Amino acid sequence: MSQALRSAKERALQIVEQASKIRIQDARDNLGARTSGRQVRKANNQMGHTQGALERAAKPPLGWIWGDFFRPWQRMFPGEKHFNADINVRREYIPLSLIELTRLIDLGWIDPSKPIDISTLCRTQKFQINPNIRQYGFDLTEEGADSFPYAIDIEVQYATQSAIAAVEKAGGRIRTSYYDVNALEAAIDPKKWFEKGNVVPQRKAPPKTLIGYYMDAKNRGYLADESDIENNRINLANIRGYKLPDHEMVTEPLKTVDQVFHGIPAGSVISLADKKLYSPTNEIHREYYSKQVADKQYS
Amino acid sequence: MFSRRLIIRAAQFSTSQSKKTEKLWENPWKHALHQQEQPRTSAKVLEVPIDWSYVERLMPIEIIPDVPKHETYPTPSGWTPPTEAAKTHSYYVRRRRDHMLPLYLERKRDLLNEKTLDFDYVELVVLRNVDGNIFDCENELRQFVEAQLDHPIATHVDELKGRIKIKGAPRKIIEQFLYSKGF
Repeated sequence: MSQALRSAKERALQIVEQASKIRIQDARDNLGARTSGRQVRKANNQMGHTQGALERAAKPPLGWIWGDFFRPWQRMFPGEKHFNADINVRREYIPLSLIELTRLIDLGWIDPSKPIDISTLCRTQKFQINPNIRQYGFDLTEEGADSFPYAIDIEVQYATQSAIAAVEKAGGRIRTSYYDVNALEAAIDPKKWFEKGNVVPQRKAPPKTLIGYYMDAKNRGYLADESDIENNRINLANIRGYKLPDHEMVTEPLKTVDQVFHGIPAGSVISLADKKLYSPTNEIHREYYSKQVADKQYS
Repeated sequence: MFSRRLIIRAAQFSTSQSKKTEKLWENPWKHALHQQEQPRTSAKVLEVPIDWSYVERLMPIEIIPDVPKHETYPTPSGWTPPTEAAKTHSYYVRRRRDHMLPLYLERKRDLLNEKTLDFDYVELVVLRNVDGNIFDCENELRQFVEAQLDHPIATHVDELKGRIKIKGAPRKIIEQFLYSKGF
């Protein structure tokens, strides 16, 4: 094209034409493009000040936010180039301490003989997880680790070494696993998901920043080798100086890496009224729900 | 120039339409009916047998479950059911619906600290659901807690609502008091 390109739209189209491969996630919104909050009209929004107050006030030096008037923030922390730069992509995990878990089991909210995962914890209706604000599941913390008695089979999204040790000392099994936003939404409220008629999703592989964590047998990641995990389990018992139980207490098979619910395959639809499960017969649909894909929405 | 290119492309995609001899508007009914007969989707489903207990265990718990039988009390998390000893006092503290003690934490704003120009906060523990002689309860609670802590505590009794607010004592010690009385 000899003529010089004029608009940004034309330039964008040219980029798209020249690109070798375009994926669906290239067309996603920018972070913060959509907000759930109400936008107050500019005229009405005083934000704690009035226009007159702003006009009459002595203005602080540029960059000053709060605190010492003569030491603005950017001079106090000169090394901080991007303060809270990752606030939009940071993941949050809801802390779940071992003592809370013990109390839930004691009072009959959770059955320790069945595998425990996000759905089991959320069905007690004592936790709120909102995937829309980047809450990604549970973090098992070590409060109550000294006297944790139940041999449980638990799956959380993050766990400290002390919590892992406490669960394994009691003869339990712990795995850390990643749920992408869609799978998490299904796992938090399966009833709502099934009633909407949504398809049981398949869990995506973790994004590249988390894959190291979930492939590490030290963290009991669900992508790590089982033999590695077994070695690490024995190793952790030796380091912390406790004796592992002689025989396996948890013998139920683990979920597969892309499974959201135990015993329910991905791609199926559940009718709660008829108590029936339907799965697609079309080969393309079957392939779509058995394909392993990485979660590239956030790095 | 750019727009011409687009037009050429669009023409490439719409070759099938130009081949048609009969126009759509000549017999719209035929077109519409023909569309309806066509299968719109290739999604067919097959009913698969399922162990329904896997689905049942996902449904939210809507009724507070009964506490399972434990061999010994307190349970590993330190919970004890109310005992017969609770009925011997002139007051009674009812449990919450979920079998827990009716203890709540409250944080209230205190005076402005003139040195730091920040507000101080007081942390209170509220004991609710007290029936009977609430002042007896408050007296015994105060004696128990002060013996444990070696410093005086402040309490406020709301007889009408059956509540006691306690300042200066952690919830754990008040929990111990209630368990020691059998509530």
